[in-house]
Amino acid sequence: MYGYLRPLKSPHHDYTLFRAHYCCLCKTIQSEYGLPFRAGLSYEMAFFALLLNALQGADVSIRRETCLIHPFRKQAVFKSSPTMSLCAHLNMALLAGKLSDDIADEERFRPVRRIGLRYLESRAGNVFKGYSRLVSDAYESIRLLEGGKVDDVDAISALFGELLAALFLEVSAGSGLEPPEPMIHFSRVLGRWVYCIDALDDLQNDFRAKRYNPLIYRYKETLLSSDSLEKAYESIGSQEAVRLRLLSEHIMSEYRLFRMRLGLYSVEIDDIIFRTIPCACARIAKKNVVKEKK
Amino acid sequence: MSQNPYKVLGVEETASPEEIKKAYTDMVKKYHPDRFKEDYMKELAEQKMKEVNEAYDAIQKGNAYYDRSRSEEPPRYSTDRSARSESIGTLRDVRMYIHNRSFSKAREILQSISLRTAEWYYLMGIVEVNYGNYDQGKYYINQAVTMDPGNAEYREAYQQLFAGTIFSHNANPYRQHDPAQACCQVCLAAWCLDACCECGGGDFITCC
Repeated sequence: MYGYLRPLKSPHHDYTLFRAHYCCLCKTIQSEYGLPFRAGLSYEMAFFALLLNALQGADVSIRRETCLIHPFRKQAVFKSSPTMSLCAHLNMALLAGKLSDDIADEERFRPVRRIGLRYLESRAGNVFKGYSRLVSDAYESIRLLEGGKVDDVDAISALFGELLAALFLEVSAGSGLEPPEPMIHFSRVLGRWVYCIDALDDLQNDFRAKRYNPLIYRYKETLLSSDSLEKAYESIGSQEAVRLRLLSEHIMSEYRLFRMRLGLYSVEIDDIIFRTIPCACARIAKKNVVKEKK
Repeated sequence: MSQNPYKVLGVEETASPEEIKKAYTDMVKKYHPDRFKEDYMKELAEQKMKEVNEAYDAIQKGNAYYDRSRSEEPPRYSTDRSARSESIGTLRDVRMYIHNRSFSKAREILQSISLRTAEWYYLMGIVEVNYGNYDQGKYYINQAVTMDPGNAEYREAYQQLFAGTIFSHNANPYRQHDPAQACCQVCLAAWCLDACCECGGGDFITCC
């Protein structure tokens, strides 16, 4: 859905564990919901599944399989487990929330989205419904703030953070895991970060498409008084980079508090926390500047 | 209204009626919706004008009330020595709670203190930052720096948190060193050395 939490391309690592989790979730979604919904799998969910398995100390058991996208070269697939199944349901619940939000917001592809949502709900089980209730409640609160053209980025991103923390607790409870306190706070801050970076990433498109984005209202003076929109975007990017930096530092400090529990898995998770997150912040914050220089 | 009307107009709270009027007229000129062509900009300008008008009305009517819980509370000073020393003791406890990451307890104690010193603003700012409320945190720590500019701890915290450097342009840790480019650089350096300074160890490239 967002795609910010994935390992960077590297000549030194092939990130087998992350890829195996992604492939396992993809296959689980196909078996539970059908082939087209594989496209709805997010990198964030693969990261989430990796984190949960790490906390549970799950055995690393990988098999090699082909699939529709990789018909010739066998790919690493993590073993199926109840945790992976819960993550697949959670991914679909988040997708359903996103679809209904898009249906309410956008004219484009509305009928297609409606069909997708109806089909998804028709195949839903109790687990999906439980997650879906949490997601739709959070989206409802976010929509209320969006309707009021709220400019408080911290307040609106906090709702998303709370949603992620609640979902994390729900999935942990479902897989018989008692997460450490810093872990819950970590998911809360991570949720905030995802919301903030997505808002900055979408700023230009939202402004052009006249869609709500809290940053437009937060920086309305900058947008109204700048000589050009490019300069305004640049100024917003540099100011929001501070928020992103604080959030990523916060994520890292919370992560350090439970990192020792992750065992073998921590190598790949470390990479996402300490490399991917700062790089994503840099890329998005400098997006406007780079474009202008080109 | 939720914001300090003086701040909306960009004037000090001690500003004269003439200064306030001038600030208001400047704002109207700057943000009038007719100045903007695009609908979306017009909408933003209308929203800004609404804020400006509300702020001006609030000051004119003399009831510049705003939601103080949000962030704009002006500092309160006290000359009562016993209250001040009691507050210092409590703030020391707050520091301990922050150190132990008990932010809710720290916030609870801070909210119960009526005497708001620079230390109070600083600690409240730290608590808010840890809750992820960065805008609030920035306001509080800035307030602490304004009230006690000589305090290095407040200044450093502000610098580190909010005026720190932004991520570097090429923050990719896997950025590869290009061997071809490196080879060219080495050859160029060798040729320059050879051409400029024959005594630099002998004539390696005899043709030049």
